[in-house]
Amino acid sequence: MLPRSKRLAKKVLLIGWDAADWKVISPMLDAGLMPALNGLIERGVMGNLATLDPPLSPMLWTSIATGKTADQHGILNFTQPAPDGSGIKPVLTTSRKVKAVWNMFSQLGMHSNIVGWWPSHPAEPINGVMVSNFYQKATGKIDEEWKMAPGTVYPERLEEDLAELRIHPGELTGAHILPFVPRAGEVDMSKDKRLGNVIKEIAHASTIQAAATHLMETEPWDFMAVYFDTIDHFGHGFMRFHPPKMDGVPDDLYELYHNVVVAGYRYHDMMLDRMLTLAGEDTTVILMSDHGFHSDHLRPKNIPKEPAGPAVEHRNLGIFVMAGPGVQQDERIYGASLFDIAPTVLTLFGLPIGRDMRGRPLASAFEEPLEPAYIDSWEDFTDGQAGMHAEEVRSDPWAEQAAMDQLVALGYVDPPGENAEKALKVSTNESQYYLARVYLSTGRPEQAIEILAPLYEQNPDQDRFGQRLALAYQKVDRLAEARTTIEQLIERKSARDKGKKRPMPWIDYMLGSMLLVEGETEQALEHLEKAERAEPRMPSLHNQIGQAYLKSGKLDLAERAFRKAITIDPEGAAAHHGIGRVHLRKGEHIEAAEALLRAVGIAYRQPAAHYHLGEALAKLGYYDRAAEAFQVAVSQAPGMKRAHLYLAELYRNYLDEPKKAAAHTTFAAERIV
Amino acid sequence: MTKPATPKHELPKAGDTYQATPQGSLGLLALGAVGLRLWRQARAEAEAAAQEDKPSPAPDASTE
Repeated sequence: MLPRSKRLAKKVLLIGWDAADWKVISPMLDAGLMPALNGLIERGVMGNLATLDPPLSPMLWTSIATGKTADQHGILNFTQPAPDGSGIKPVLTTSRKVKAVWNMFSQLGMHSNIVGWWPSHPAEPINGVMVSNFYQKATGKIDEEWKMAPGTVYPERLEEDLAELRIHPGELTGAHILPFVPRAGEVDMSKDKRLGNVIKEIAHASTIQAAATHLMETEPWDFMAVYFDTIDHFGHGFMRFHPPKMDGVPDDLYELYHNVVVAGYRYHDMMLDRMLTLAGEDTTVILMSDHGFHSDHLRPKNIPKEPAGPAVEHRNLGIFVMAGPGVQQDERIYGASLFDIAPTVLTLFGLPIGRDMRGRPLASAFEEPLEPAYIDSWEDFTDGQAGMHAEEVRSDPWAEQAAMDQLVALGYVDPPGENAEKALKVSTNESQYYLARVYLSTGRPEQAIEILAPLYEQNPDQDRFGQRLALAYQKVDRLAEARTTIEQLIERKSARDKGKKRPMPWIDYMLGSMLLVEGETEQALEHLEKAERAEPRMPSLHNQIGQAYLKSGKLDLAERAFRKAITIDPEGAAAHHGIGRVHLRKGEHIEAAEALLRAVGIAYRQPAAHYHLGEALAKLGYYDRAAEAFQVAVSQAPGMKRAHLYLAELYRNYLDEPKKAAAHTTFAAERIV
Repeated sequence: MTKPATPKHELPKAGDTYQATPQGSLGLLALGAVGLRLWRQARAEAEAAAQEDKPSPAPDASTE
């Protein structure tokens, strides 16, 4: 019997805007340019949504749908090996190893309509409708037959209707294009491919909108999930033309394309308005993005020449908005992460959260306290039909090619070319590298080392593999191996540069970080400041310099370094954490608490920041709130002994809870080495 | 975040009403399936009307 909690939502509409970012949206809301979103925010909650590492969309959207890390769900890359070993293909839903929420709903007889999710091809036979992420991609010219690839739509009875709702880019007119590029008539499309990409993206987004609205009007649904990738694609293609004008962007191109990003958001607002009307006010609506997109002075000047290099343009905070019955109104929430979406959706329906999911329901978004139900794992729940593919399903290589072409156009993968074997090797290596990054970012550096050590040995020209390996060694205090890896990196880089002395800021950064761990603060600072001279706009470098000064007790210099990081990126959680620590050390507890609240408000999953916040609150005499902060710290890092000991002291001496005090003392003594 | 000021822009916005013309509009596309169908219908009607307005081809001499 499945445990249940109180059902909070009648229906749930989940809308994904890939790469949507408050930094672009907020000024547009202020200017009245996104009225539908503004209305949704006013009747609901909004906040940042912390992304995951690596910030690669197929991996992220699968974590959103499953609540699980990429090593659990199996979607690791944009591409995957073809089953016959002949090369690579776009990543398919058949690679997902665990249930998405719609599979869980299927088991319970609930209806889900899923449109465009990445990846969702071939469409899964769920209780409801699935329109795959291959649906909107035109495969030929407008006068050529545009076949629907097998597996694009489930159930088949809807194929004909949905095929008719696809919009070919060649169908669009000036009325659609000019709001994005008012001087489109001046573009020679044989030489400048950008306008063609704008037109294609308008067609894609409009096709998804047509399918989604059709299903909302004609098919039953409890849960509806619709994914739009156009904001991300406009970002990669046109954010460099977004105001303020970046150095090096030619005037004529800026004049032509500076409106594309804003027009894209406005178009999405118009589409949102329609969906909200169709959903009705009794539907709980979640609008979110998987990551943000740098739109200001943090826009990278160069894109790394490596697979998934364009991901460097992604910002670590996406957007989250939720409105509906029982949801607070016009409030901000803090600390949400992508992992929290699936647990929140399950809780909305009164269904249990899998204990093998990494997130939690977003309790602060609701008017009433939540009492979620839990089960060990949805994977063990076998009632009903989940609607997952039982075995490898063949999909159409022709449609796969269209999806591959788009990945190549976006710069996420290199053209496979003639050498399928090489493409396969690159794809396999990348998947392993991304998996190692998943382990690193989820506190499992030993597992990252198991992957990265052989990977770097086999690919000695890939500095990024070596950098992550050194970092992983450093995290587990295998400092000698970290140093050896860094020396290899220096040697190999010097050999490639043929003895020319070029600045290597990341090498100095890593050496400085390692020396800091080793307690060699002065030497660490030498390297870090050398790196700063070569790369003065890297917030993490200033944070590391701040850490070094904190260690050596030079608090004013530490504060200056953290403030430099904040000047570059005002939403840098680590820098606010650093400022909080400086104030704490100076005995300025109010200022410390303010800075630390800001830090955890930006990024919630920072056990050390919660610990320091607890310390500041305890010094101010807010013992119950301090205990809450320490509790969060130990929930995020159960092995944090000092937080357990502080909790024990608070419960024993200030909060009159001796049993809790004893529990934390025992836990710290017996369970933590 | 402040309350939106009166919008000043050329793009249609949420809540606007749209007229289906043969050229179409972003507003119609944003309405989704219903807007798309209206646009295609307006376009088809305009094409049909244009066909009707075309002068008949000159009689072929060989048929006279």
